[in-house]
Amino acid sequence: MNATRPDEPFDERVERLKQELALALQWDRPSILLAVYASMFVRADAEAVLEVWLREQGQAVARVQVSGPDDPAADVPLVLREWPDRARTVFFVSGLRQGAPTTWNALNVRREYLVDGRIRVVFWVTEGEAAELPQRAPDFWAFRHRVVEFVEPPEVGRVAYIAGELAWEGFEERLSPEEREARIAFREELLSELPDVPETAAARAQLHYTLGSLYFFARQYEAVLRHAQAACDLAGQAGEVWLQARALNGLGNVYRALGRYEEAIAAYQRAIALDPKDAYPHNGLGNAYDELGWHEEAIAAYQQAIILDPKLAAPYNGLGHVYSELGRHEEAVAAYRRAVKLDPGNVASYVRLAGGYRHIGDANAQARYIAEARRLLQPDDDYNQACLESIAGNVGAALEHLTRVLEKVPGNREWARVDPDLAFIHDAPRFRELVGGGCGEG
Amino acid sequence: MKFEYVTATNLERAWLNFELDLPLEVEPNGLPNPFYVDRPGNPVAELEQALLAPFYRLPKYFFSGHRGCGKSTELRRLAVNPDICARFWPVHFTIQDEADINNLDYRDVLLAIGGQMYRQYRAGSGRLPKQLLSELDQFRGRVEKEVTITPGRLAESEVEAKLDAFFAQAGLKLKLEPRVRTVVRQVIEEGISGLIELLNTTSAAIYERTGRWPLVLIDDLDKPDLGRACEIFYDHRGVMLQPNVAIVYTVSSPIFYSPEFEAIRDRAIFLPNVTLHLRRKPDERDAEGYCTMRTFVHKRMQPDLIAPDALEEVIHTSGGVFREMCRVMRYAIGRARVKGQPCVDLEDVQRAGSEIRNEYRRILTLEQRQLLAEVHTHNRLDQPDKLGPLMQILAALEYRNAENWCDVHPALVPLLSEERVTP
Repeated sequence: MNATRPDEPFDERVERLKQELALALQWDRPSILLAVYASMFVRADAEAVLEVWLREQGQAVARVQVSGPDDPAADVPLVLREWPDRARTVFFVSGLRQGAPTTWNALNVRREYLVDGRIRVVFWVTEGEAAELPQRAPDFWAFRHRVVEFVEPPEVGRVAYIAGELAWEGFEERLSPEEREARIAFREELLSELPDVPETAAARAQLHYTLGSLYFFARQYEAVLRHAQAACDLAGQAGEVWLQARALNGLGNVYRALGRYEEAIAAYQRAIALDPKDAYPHNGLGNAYDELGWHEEAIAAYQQAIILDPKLAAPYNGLGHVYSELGRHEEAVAAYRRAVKLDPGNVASYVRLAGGYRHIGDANAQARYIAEARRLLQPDDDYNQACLESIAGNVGAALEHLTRVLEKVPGNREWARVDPDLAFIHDAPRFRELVGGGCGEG
Repeated sequence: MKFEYVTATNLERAWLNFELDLPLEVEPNGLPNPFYVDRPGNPVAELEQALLAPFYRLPKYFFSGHRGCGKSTELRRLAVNPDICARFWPVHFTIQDEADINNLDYRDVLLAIGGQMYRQYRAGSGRLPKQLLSELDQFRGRVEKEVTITPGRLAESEVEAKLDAFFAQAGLKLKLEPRVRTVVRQVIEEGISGLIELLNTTSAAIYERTGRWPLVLIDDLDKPDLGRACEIFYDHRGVMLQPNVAIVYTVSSPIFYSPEFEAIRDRAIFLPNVTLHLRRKPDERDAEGYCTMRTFVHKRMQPDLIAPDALEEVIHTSGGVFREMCRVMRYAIGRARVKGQPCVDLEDVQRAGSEIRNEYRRILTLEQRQLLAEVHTHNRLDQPDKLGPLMQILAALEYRNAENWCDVHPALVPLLSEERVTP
């Protein structure tokens, strides 16, 4: 199902969740809420607003992310029932499909734990999970107290900062807006003039593919989806398997940029099935898994991309990021060093490498790569500036850049919260004000 | 905070009173719960009559109904019904307290029946004959030879104390410890006829001492998944009907409608939804049904908290399902509160209907919508294999008056024309 903008404003929908929780808290009753989302970014926005409000009500927020069927958290009702101080806690639960079939069974069979334990919980479910839930856990579904939808696409300009390189491989991101507009206009016109006949299919596929990339960097994701899909269909008709796979990879990229990870992963996997030797979709899969916090799967995907194309820098950057998140800083540094060697113009790799050296306590190397990053960094690249100043120990400057980023793109709060390069400013009260609570119990 | 069953005088309290799964406990004096509403032609009366009829063998009945139709409430009422209590000694419990319903087995149910009979009888200061205690203790000994249920040592003479501790612990251990479950099941399996005989003897002993036969009312047996329910009620039907104890088993509606259930359907009572219109006459309101649902609302909140036209719309949208009624009311109350209104108006209810519709929009396939469109036209209760899942999620609702028929959840009717579905 495509994400559409609902007729009810975002704030009113969040208000509905608040109201249900407020009454449940007032009367000390259970509250089983389902929040359906299409984009991770929109979910992050809704969670952030709700979390701030819950704190004002004196409630803690505990996030329970199910990572697999054998994860103890997959028995969600049991975990919530056993939670200490659950009377003062509102739970945000996600990852139901990842925990299947355990999650479905546990929810269905132990649903009464939620009611008897007067548990207040918001289940953040994707559209796919929302459709599956009534079939797989019908008794639990009958227990739902309210369903609120957040299925709109994120605001234009929302994009993940981590591991985002090679978003649309082979195309230049840093075109001036005027140049990009001109290129788009020219290709749109050309496309409209080509007759819809079989012999133009390959040419039209190429044009759609290029337009997809141009719109991608213009952050016009609806247009990207349209063109990438058209490129994929036409390439299929024309028997251009390579292009079809690349178009699917492009679709994966845009779904990922929209936070629609299920669809992104499916698109990458289709691309891999069509062209198993192409490294790009493996890299894309790695990015998607990393952003979902599936570290082992991300490492495997990046390693596969490296096997297929050892000269590609992006999977090394991705690997470095995963290792950093896991606290494996020596391995992260090794991966970033390789990335810098393969792509010396990529400023983000220098920033991360400097961060890696700070984590392992090599001050000289840290200073060297900070200097190199400063040389390359654009003044308006606030996110990387914030990371760099954090690594350099300039807390005030880091927070200033971070404030600017979050003003422009509030949804990056989630990324900022977990980014290892910003770990050095976590203790600053302003940082907590900006990004909210931690990843575990808040 | 103990729940007080008082009629709401404002919307905040009304929200509380329409909690979806509020248990309607019978009052300590035996009076019905203040929120309880009797339904027209309540089939529980049929169950009461059946239980009170003369019998050669102690009766066994299967009590079924769709989600949210009030099975637990009716079972609670049955347990305190004076006529029933005059003839039977009720043992009412939920299987969830005795076993893991995620991993339920017919042997767990039999042990739960025995354990609850023993415990509830003992809780009422009842004393069982020495010989029976000795036989029960032998059973305990066989189990505890394999696995420890009661930690600590009790003096040899304290048979009752040992049995009290054993039956108090057995359910919990069965529920939480897979190893205990396996061993106990094995012990029961090896001597299933012995366990049935013990149940029969306990039942007879209770009758001998109280002048009333035990009537076991087991709630929540409709909760295990269909596979486990089939294993219990089809594969071991003979054993489940064997104990010389009056028993009412709850069973889920998919089991009730399955062909295998045909053989024991004469022992089944189905609690239907409240009929709101006649079959194939959607515009002809069933006045009695509307009155029942109106009473349901007015017991929970004062009439001035909802506009009359809004109340009629709530009833219509509920489809005569009590839980759905609560859902629509809660959604509508939420809407009214956001607008700062003191009472619910028609628009709030209509928006609540839209919310419910949205919940189903992503779930129903085109084929299911087509089937629902057919159902809405002819109200026929056929194609059980296809209708079953739709009934399970309350997209299709069953009614019974002179005959059995079904219709689409009223909130979903506008969905049927969205995809240009032609019946």
